[in-house]
Amino acid sequence: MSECVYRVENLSKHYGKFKALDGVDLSLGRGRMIGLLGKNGAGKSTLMRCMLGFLKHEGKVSLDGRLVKHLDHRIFQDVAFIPDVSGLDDRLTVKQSMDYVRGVNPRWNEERAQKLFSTSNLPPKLKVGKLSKGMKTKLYLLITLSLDVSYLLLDEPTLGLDIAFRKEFFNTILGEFFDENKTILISTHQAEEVEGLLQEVIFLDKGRVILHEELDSLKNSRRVVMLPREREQELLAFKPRLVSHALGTSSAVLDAGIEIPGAEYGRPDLADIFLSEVGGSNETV
Amino acid sequence: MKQCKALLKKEWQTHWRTILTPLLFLAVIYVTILLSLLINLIKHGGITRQSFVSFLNFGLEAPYWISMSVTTLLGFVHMVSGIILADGLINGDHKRQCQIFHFSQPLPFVKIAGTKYLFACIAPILMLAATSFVNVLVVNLWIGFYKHTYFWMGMMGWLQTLISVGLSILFVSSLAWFFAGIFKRKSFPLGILCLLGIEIILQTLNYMVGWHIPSLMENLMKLINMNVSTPAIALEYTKQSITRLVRANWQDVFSTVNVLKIGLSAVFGVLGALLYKRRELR
Repeated sequence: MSECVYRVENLSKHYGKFKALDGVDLSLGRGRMIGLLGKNGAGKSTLMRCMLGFLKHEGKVSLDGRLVKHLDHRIFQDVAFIPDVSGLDDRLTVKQSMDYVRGVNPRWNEERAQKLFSTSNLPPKLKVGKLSKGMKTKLYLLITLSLDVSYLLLDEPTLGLDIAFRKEFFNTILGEFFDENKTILISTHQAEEVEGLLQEVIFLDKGRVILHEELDSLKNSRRVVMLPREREQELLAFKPRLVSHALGTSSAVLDAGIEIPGAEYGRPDLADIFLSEVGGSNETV
Repeated sequence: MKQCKALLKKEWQTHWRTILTPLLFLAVIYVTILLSLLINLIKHGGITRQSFVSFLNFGLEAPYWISMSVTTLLGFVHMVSGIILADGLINGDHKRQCQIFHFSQPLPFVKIAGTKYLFACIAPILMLAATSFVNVLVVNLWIGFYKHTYFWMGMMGWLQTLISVGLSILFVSSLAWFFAGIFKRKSFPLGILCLLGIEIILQTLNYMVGWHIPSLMENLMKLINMNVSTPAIALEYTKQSITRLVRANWQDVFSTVNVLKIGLSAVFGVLGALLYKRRELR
């Protein structure tokens, strides 16, 4: 693991009686692309908002050794964030939104902004409120990626975007932003789209971190074991959290060391591992 | 400085409609006047001098009180826009779910709140100054042309009322700012309801226990009151008596009530900002 820059210690957050985060401990290194996965309501957005000082919480959050307090503007000298719901000001035009961020954020990189916006088809004079949901998200992404920051927190960044731009975003745009000094924490439901990019994954369930590992070692430590349906009991003997059924076979993600005679083995993808750890159906990933 | 400039620009871009709405009110007045002129023209076959000025039996003091009335009337409209503006500046981002966008910038809270508060207080006053100046100037030139009154008196009346009404707007905008810090929706009506509730409790206590706690609403009205002492109309004024009147009104402008308005505005400004800062961004 690389040098730890973002540290979360015993972080808890209550909404009334509901415990959204329950004693979360995390250390995020520099130059990492990290995926934050969890079902709906697992606490992903709450965790990110606590990490940014938007929510009051119990426990500690620190960045580069400095404590992050409630509404602490200093954190944004080096962190950029995109929330899950498009939160641009719909009273401003596209150009006014850019000008505003250019004016208030010293991290604005004009050269990169020009490059990013030159290929976009965003109409500069149109009010943000008049843009489609996808266009709004695109604008937010491009504004955020025009900032020279070391940490990027993305909460469902591609929600509402079409497949073409999602692919472009993950394969090209995000790749251009990322380097060995930058850390990206990305929360998404589209595990398959980010799988190739991620170096680490964090699984969050019911407000708790249930797994935080390097993606490669995670994949190497588990494998998909497939057996004919009538031999399912042999799989169940290892108490997997989820058994999938397809074309007369039953499959489950088990430890790589487990051998079952006559079984077929496969390398699990991120969604398989997530489901095996958290349980539930595919649609929750 | 660059950040403050960008913030002020953004506040203008997002709230210009509220600030300029009083111009609509003004436009309605102008349209009404033009219509009455037109009716007059049709009825009498021409615009007579009597149509405008003579029937009011103006004295020398006319420009003074007309300037005061015009400025006060416009002040009331700008005060309403100030109330809406204060609420919009604190709660508008929350209603439009763009608070996170604005708070994700490296902007100290003091700058964000300070700019918003400044904008809430200064914008309606500046608009009042501009609109009332133009109108007072036109009206005074018009009356001066017909009645040979003292032009300087009209402008003095405008200045005195502008300061006095401006301070009332400052106070009311600050109060609205404070209420907006407490309530995220319908802040001003809810704030006034709370004050009325407190007033009822105080009056009940005064009645039942025999206390003499001063009336909250009465004092509030004193602070909101926009009037500078106005001269009685249609008395025979001389140049000396008018000068005395203007001087006496300067004392009213710099009264302790107006100093209190400034002090309380500052208190409400700080309290509103502190309440705003306590909010979580969900």
